[in-house]
Amino acid sequence: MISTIVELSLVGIASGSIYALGAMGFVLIYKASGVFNFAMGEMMMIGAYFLYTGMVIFGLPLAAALPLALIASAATAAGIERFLLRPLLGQPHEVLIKVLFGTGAMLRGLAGLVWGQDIVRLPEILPRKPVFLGPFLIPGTLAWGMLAMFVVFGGFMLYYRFSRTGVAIRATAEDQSTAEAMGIDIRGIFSFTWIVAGILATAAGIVGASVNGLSPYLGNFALEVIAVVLLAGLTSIGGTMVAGIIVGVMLTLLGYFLGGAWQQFMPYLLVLLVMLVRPRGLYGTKLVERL
Amino acid sequence: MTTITRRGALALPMALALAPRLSWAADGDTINLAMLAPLTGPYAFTGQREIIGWQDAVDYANAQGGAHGRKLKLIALDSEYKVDVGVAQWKKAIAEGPVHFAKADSIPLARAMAPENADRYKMLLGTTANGSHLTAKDGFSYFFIPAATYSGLMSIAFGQIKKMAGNAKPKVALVHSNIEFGRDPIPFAKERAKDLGFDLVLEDETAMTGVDVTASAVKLRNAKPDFIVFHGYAGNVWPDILRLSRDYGVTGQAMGTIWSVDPDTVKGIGPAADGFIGIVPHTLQIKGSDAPAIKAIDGYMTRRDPKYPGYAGIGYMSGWAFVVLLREIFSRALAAGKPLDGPSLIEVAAGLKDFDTGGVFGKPVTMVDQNIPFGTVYRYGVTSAGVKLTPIAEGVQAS
Amino acid sequence: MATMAAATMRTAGRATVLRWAAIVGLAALALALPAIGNGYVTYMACLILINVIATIGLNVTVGYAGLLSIGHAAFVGMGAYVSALLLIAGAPLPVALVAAAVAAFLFGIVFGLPAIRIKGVHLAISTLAAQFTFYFVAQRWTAVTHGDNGLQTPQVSLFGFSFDSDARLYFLILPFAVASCLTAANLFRTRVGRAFIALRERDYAAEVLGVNVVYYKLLAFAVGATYAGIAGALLSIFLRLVNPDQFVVSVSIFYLTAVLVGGRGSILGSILGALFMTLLPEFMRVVASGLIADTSRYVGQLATFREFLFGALIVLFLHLDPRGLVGLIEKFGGRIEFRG
Repeated sequence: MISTIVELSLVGIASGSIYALGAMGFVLIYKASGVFNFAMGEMMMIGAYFLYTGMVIFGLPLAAALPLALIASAATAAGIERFLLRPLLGQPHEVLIKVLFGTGAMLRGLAGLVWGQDIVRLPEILPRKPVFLGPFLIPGTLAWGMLAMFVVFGGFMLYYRFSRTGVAIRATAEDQSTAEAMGIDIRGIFSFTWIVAGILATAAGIVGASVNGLSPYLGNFALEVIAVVLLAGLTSIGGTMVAGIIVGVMLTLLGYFLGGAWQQFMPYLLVLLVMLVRPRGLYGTKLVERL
Repeated sequence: MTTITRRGALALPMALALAPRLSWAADGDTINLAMLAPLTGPYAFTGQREIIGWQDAVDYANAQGGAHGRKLKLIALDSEYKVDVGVAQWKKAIAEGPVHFAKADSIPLARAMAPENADRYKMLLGTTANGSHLTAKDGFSYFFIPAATYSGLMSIAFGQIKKMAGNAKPKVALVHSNIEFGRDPIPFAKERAKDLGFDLVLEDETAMTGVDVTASAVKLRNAKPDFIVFHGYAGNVWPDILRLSRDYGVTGQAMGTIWSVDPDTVKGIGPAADGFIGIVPHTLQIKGSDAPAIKAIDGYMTRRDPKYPGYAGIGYMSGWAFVVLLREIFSRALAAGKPLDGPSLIEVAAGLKDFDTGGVFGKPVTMVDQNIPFGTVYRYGVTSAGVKLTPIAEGVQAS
Repeated sequence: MATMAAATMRTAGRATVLRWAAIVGLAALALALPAIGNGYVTYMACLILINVIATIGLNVTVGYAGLLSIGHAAFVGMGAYVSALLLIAGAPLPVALVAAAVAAFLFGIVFGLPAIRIKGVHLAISTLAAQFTFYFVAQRWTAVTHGDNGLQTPQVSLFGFSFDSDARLYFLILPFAVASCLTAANLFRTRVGRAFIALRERDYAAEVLGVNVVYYKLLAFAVGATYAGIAGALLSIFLRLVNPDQFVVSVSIFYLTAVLVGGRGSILGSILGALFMTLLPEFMRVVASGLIADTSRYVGQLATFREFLFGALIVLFLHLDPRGLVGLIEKFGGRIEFRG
């Protein structure tokens, strides 16, 4: 019993890190520009299809297909920001949310037209061989996915903390007009955060698709990612890691002990309860409102 | 200018509501078959394949002279797998011309159509949702299912387990989705497992989509089943449960029913699925058959892709099953001079006995309780190169 | 500055006339509709009217009070289940409708509670909790809801008049839709309505000015949910079927899209939004059949293309005017005025 819980928790930590990877893109965009990206799930889906195109349709090796997929999804993300979102900056957030919903539908339709409605499988990128942690066994894809996730996460955090661009993003998040006055190109920052989010989304999409199969509706799993984002509090990148792990462990334990139907709403109930106590989530910063 | 604007505001809904009638109303001599299928949304995967099957089968039936000399006409409509949209599309088809038959794609849609059809339209209906309670005594007067019900298929799966286990008491795991058609045959299956003396070591209800299914694989590992039956999925979740459980060292015989076990889906699992057993209502192996309808299917498949893998998908064949039965039902009704309405057509359908479908079904079909209660059991030989289907038993009676 | 204010006032004045004219015009068309349209038109009209009622409800919560909700379908579902259960138990139609409205009102208060502390996107996501919880209960509490099978609603009648066809049901639904428009339009002439708008504009400021923010936020949710409850009751009577899959997230998103594409805080916007969302798939089918002679071979691809077009139109409309279709129509009317 105890060993089952420990084992499932380990599995949950691994799968939660995948949620966290998707959640980082959300948080980054929200921090920099205050936009809640409801097309994130579709960006994950498109990114996974780019990799599929490279590897399966053109038969490229992973080393060539992955960079190409990342470039293509970065370009897609930048395009969405530049052409669909930027003209509407300053509009109420529900309008921006709706535009992103619309963008999501466009991407789904586009994917259906280009790649069809079939559920396809990505070639196996991560080794399947299970990894043993003492007496516990972690499925290979999850274990390696988690490792890849930590590398991406660690690298990004270092960049975000210490590079000039990282500082500029944080300054923009702090106060847009002051940042602009200090000579930061905030439009450039917006573009940049979308590009980074596009890359992170692609990484999450590839891992998600290798578990779930790839279809235009892969993005639906973003709903789980959104729960993670809100639990973390929308503004804390480090917090998404913790929240991702909480949700991952919770989903795995729920799936084991209660079954699939509970998995869908419990994360949101948790989010609701947490927000009633801490309205900005676990790690969110409190916004000071002035009249 | 207010007037102009108001007219502008009104013109849009007017134009839409009174949109031009589509074409089939003109040729009143055809037998009009409306098929509602999910062409968009998460189930589009199945709907898009179904429609090709219907198109080919109608084409074939018409080349054979149609139904008693009258051509069949297909009206394909996108239900988006939603009840209100499905009913709307059905009524649209009715408004635009006579509809002789309509096919619902989900149990809820069938439920929504049934009472109004019984009261008003009285047309022949069918469904690809093989719910276990879609018979007249449950209020589904003019429905038929061109396949076994989910419970029927489950009974075939359990019969296969019984046969393979011999005298041993097999440990069986049941893994199914939490949506309506995934849960449909579960009460029956549990009852049957008890009757047959199976040891039901696990009943796992999973989500229809999910990123991580490790919990299900761990459950399978702990339950150590001899047989694992998957039911109620479209193309995802279960393949990963199977793959992962193999990684975990689960060796039980994997089995699955109808919509879950499309050969392409099983192919995607790779060698981990080798030896998989699928219980399906229709013939899937196309290449190498002499049956006339299957040879025709081979022709259509080859024309579309000369290097097709030699088998057809579940959705595609369900289209053929419908059309081949509908053609016969309408032919018989026309030959007997009966009206083409629900009451007389369902009577004709109920009278189908040992009807030869040209190979679409594993044996000549007899309609019982508004469905065709048998199925075919295939073994899936899966290598990294592809899937090879071998029939273990064709035309196995459901019970 | 003064000219701007004058222009704003003129626009506002004309907009009001326009709104009323459109409502009257639509009503006239509405009365004649079952007589001139076929069965499909009548069916769609019923569906649109039900969607109008639900959309107006969401517009009260989102458009007027500024509380973003992605859980509206749960409120519709509440009304549908309550009315279906009562009708099955043999309750008369008016009782079922009132009970559905009351149940949804209370449900709205419960799930509006997070709005006291949470705002904006956070609030929207917390309403998803209502959505998923409702689905879970509807699917699992089989003793009452019959789970996935759902409930089959009996045919209803009022004073011996049996609503046994879409055309008759249409005249049951129409008065509710009209009443919804009128009550919602008048709500904003009342103290309550003005308090909602104050909340939307700046809730801290509203509080300073003496608006009881907690009370009005809950009320905004509850009033919106009441409309949804009535829409749900009518839906259960109209479709004669209630099951969990009718009230999922995508349906909530459908209503939210109707509000935002139609026009936030506008009754005409709600009508246009509901029309747009219900008829767009149809409209695109017609366009597609005009573009391609033989659509039957491409029906699969066309369906996929529709999804793309749907997204593109939402994006396009909001880019042309972030106020939605109402804004577009006002722009369009304005241009004609200047040229004339």
